[in-house]
Amino acid sequence: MQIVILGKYKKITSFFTAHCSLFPIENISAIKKLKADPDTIVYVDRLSFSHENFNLVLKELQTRASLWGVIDPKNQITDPALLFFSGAADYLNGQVLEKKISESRLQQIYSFKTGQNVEHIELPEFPGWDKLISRKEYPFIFLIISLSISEELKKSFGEKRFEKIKELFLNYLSYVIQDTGKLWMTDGTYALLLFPPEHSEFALRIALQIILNAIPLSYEYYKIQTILPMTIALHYGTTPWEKVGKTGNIISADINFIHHIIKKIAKPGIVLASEEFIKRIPEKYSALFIKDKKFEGHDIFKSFNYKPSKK
Amino acid sequence: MRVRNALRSLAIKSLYESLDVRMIIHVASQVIENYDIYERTGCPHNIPLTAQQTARQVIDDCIALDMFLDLLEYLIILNSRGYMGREFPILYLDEMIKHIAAEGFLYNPEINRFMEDTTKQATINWGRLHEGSNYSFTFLKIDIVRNSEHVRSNKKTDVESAYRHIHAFITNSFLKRDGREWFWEGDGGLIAFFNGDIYNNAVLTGIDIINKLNLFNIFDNILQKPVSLRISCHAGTFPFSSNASVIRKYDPIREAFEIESKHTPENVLSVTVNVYARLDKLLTDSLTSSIQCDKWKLYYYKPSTEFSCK
Repeated sequence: MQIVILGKYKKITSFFTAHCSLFPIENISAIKKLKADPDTIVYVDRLSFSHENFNLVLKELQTRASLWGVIDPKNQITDPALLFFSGAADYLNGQVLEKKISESRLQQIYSFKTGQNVEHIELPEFPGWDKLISRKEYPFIFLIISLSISEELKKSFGEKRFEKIKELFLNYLSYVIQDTGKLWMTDGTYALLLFPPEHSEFALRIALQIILNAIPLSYEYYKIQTILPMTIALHYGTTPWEKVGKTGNIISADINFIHHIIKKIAKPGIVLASEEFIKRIPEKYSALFIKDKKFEGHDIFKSFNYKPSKK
Repeated sequence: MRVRNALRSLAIKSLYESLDVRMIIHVASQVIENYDIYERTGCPHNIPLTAQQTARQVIDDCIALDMFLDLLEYLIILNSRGYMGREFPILYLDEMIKHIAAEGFLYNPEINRFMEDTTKQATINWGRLHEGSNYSFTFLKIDIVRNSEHVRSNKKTDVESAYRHIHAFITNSFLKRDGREWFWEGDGGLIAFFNGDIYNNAVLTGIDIINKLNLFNIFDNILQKPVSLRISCHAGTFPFSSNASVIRKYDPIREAFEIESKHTPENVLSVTVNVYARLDKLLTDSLTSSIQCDKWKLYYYKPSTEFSCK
């Protein structure tokens, strides 16, 4: 999906976080050079034209673009509904522009005009850990890591040593996520880490690092003579926010889902990732995963299987 | 290590206030082979020496021979274990350890050694080895494979930046395990281990480097193609030299070069039997069964990072 803005001022493009280009119009006849395919949304900047020329541009646009909208930074249009009666797909006034126009709005426009359902819910941008509001829903990258220790192995460690291993496990995770992530839920044997949506690459790096560093970590950090088995999964979804320690009453389908992955299908040495997570990472990283079986309605992808050496 | 006047005076005082002449000479003889106090002081045997004189001579001799830290290590043992069933509490030990820490050496009680504080310095002789004296080492010979191909197909600045990145994580990995870089020539080099658990430390460093290279290729590589390394891990005893061209001529080092270049596949750490035999279980479990390559019995760390087809 492309965005083209008809207008005079380059500055208008700064209101879009989605990629867009300016189609500069010095005089009305220039619009005849515009070629918009059905997937292109063409916006007209009200501020760039006189009242009379603006109406001429709109008239021309109705025949040249199947998806069009109006940008009105100074709220000059008194009855925006009239635009929709003429076939407009969107109207962006000053207040809307200030919040920035993201990809999700464009998908909604497309959905509205074409009747095709694009699954997307507009969610608030991640405002920073200190500014999250309790009980409000936010999108996150979820990284869940669980010690996958059999009763037999637990016995061989002994209770005291096992308690120490759990403590070291959580300390290590707190250390590697730095201030970027949050160790959000844990019972000591597993940890659910949250990351802002834009840090999917960082979350992936941590997941792979934990798997690849298994030998030095087990030998030098946990001081054990066997690789500490861990299961790992990544997902992108939403959850209402609560501070660490107050998460007992949270209800979130995504949180349930990632817990189910770990309990039911995860295997040590492999990172599992949901389709939602895979879509968030650059394509070069998605090549690290191959598609696995569907689980609870989500496509699941799995990473390479790390094994130290084959005897 | 540089011994400042304050530390020298304190060490002298510690010796003569804690021990009598006979015990001071005993301490010196534990550190310096065939130590003869009369020869050192030039005093005839029939003239008795005071504890103060003896202490001064012993400390000055240890400083001159760069064996002051060896002396302190023996005093720490004497203080904790005594000698011939008798206790010998050594005065001012903690204070002396603090002075030494200020000079960049930290005491490691697990192996009873003063070791360089690598946050301050990491010299190629660990600040302790003497030129020409025999020591046992383990070492890693590392090589970036197809260097000239990377140079040909990438911008010079990109290759330099990528190699700097690789060298940085290699350095971080060996310093963490008290290794030292004996030489590095842009696309490879030699890392040595001397202190502590040199066998496990060398292999862990090699494993860590191979794994970090994997992460580098996934996330940080700006070059056209993935970077590959070959690493060999070997052990040997030979006289220490700070001259790289002398070190290269020693048989164990030449063997490490040969094993790396001729018998090590890409992205593999090969471990010789001299090292393998002294490894802990987790590490031997992480290596392949032995592979006979020419005259060498080698064990490979060859992680599988392939997609599971199950």
